[in-house]
Amino acid sequence: MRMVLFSHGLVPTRFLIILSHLSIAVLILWSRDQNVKSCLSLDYTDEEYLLQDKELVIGLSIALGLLGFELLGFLSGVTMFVPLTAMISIACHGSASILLTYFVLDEWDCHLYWWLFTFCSVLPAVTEAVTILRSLFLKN
Amino acid sequence: MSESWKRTVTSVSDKLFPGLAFYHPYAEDGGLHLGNQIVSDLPLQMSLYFNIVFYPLWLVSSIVMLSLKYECLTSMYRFLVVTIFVFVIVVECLRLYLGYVGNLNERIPELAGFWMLSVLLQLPLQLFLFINENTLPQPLDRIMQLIMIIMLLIQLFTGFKALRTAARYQANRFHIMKFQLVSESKSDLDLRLKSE
Repeated sequence: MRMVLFSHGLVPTRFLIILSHLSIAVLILWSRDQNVKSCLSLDYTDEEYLLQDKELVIGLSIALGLLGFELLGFLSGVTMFVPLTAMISIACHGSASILLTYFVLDEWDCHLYWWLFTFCSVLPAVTEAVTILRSLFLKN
Repeated sequence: MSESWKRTVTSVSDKLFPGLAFYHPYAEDGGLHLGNQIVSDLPLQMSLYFNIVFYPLWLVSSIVMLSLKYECLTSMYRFLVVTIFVFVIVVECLRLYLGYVGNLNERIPELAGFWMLSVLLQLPLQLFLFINENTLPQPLDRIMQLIMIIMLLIQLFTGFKALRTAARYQANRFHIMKFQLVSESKSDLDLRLKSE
């Protein structure tokens, strides 16, 4: 009953925030040329460029994968009505969206992305997985 | 006026979903409880709900992107894109309202209208905005449009299933009602059925 009371605001918020994180991550993946160039020193070689490019692609792809996993758990209904997971998800993805926007617009350094990745992509995915496991095992 | 519209939609939809024309919007059934099966479709309802939630964001981002790239479009495409946007915005509001109310209250004319609008109007227009290169779709445009199209496709498939289930349920109900007529009953439905 408590969960239904929360759901009127939490569920759409969580959905929209996950979608916004998704769209900004896909956006960076699509047009990452400028960001990669800002990671390197002024005189860069092609190998350095390719290395940084590959790192950023891997980071963004894993973030997108974790995001997809979380969206799946959310839409299938398993974690849709758990307020704690929803709050963590909203906080992490919200801050990720804002910081990733700064990442793109202010052309931050590439290694800052990995901090973003740990706190704002891995954390909600882990809480999601824990919630799913709890709901699977505590029911039995 | 709405009655004739409902009759037109029902008769057209009867070609696609047989059994739909047996639908009678009567609440009473003479005290006979004809089943408590819920025929609204959950995936359809969920996708409609999330579409309603997502729609304002899509609107804002599309209008901002259009205003940013307006000077770069050719004059023909300026006219085309603005017209298509106006259509899509209006049709989307109507379509989402019809689908949401239709599915929740199991009202078949609304559901049929929603499905027709989605297939005939919304699908081509959204695909045009997504695929055509001359409208200069930017990455953000593409992402928002892709999310809308995915939700539209989910609604098309689940809406078809929901409409078929609801029409079949109504047809079964009609058949059962015919067998369970009470001879002395004077309700509207029984008098009409007896006169047939």
